[in-house]
This record gives sequence, structure tokens and C-alpha cells, in this order.
Amino acid sequence: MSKIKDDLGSLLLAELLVQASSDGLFTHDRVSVDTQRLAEELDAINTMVIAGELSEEQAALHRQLRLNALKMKLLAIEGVDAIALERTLDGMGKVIRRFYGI
Amino acid sequence: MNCLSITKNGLVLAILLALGACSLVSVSPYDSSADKAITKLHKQTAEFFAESAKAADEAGCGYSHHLSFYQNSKVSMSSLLVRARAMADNNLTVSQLELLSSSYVNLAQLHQLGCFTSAQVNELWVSFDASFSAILKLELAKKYGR
Repeated sequence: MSKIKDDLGSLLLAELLVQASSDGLFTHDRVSVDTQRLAEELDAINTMVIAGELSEEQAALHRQLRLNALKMKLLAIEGVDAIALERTLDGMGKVIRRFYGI
Repeated sequence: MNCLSITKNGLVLAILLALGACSLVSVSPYDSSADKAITKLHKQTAEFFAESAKAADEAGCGYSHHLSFYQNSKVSMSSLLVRARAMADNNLTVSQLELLSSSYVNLAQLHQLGCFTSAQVNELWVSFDASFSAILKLELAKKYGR
């Protein structure tokens, strides 16, 4: 019985590793890259204001557009992560069903 | 049961518990009509920016000369939002489209303040490209990520 449990554990672990390596199951690094880019973009807008290329009112609208874009990226990351997790759990479920011949 | 099997089973159990602890957000199925409509709206927006970049200092650069673009984008956004809201488990896409709709309002407000300079057009184009990429990324993940 312990041998069977051990085999199932190995299969589940293998499935998890396959799913995790197939694409970004963990995407926190992408969030930090996007946040860093936003900081640079907001800085560029400030530079344009100082150079007199943009008024404060125009700069506020540009900043809002950048923030909207970042929020959309974060929502995409959340959705892609949810789909990856759903696929991983589905894959592990298939392993269990296959193992017990259900 | 040896130490190795205990460790392995413990690891699998820990991973399953960790995955179970994650808040699982249901994501709606792929919608080809939404994909096509978003791609079409992106093309219209890119054409608008390409035209704005050429006409930055010309007489036809004002907001009033581009009313048809703003009206068409408003109508497209409205259709996309109605369709997206009608689908179950589609909150993430709905939120993205609401933000994009708000971005078009901001773009119109910005244009009403004056003609866009080349530098502004570049900034805006990058911003809208990033927005469309994010929306399409999620939509395509629904198709290919499963």
C-alpha cells in the first residue's frame, strides 16, 4: 500500500513539475518589472512637464493612462495565473483518475 | 515506509495544500468575437496614432477633426463591455475593458486640451499598445493556456 502511495506521489510531483515548467505558474518577477517600468514612465512624464512640453493637466491625464495600462497588465497576469493553476489542478486530477483507473 | 517516501508524500501534500490555499479565480472560456473586436479596435487606434503623428503641426490635428474616431471607439467599447458582462466568470476581462474605456475618455480629454505633439503621440501609442497587449494576452491564454 505504501508503495502505491509512493508511486502516486511521484506521478503527482512529476505532473506538477511539468506544468510549472511549461509556462509561468509563478509570475511575481513580471509584476516587479512592470512596476519598475511604470516608475520610469512617470519619471519621463515629469521630465516633459519640467521641459515645458506638457502642462500639469496634460501630465495628469498621461499618468492616468499609464496607470490604467499597468492595472490591465496586472489583471492579465492574475487571469493567466488562474488559468495555469486551473490547468495544473486539472492535470493532477487526471493523474489520480488514471492511477486508479476511474 | 522509508524516509524517502515520507518526504516525497509530504512534499506532494504540502504542494497540494499550497495550491488549494491559492484563491482560484474562475476564468470564462475564450470568446473569438471579443478577440476579433479587440484586434479591430486596436488597428483603428494604431491608425489614429499614425495619422496624429503625421499631422502633429497641421491644421487638421484638433479634436474636432477626429470626432468619428472617438465616436467609433466609444461604440466599440460599449459593444465589447455588453458582451463581456453577459459572460459568466468574466470579471477580469470586464475590469480590463472598463479601464480601456476610461483610457479613451482620458485620450479625448487630452485631445480637447490641444493638438498632440510627436512626443505625446509616442507616449500615448505605447500606453494603448500595452493596454491592448494585456487584454489580448488574457483572451489568448483562455484559448491556448488550457
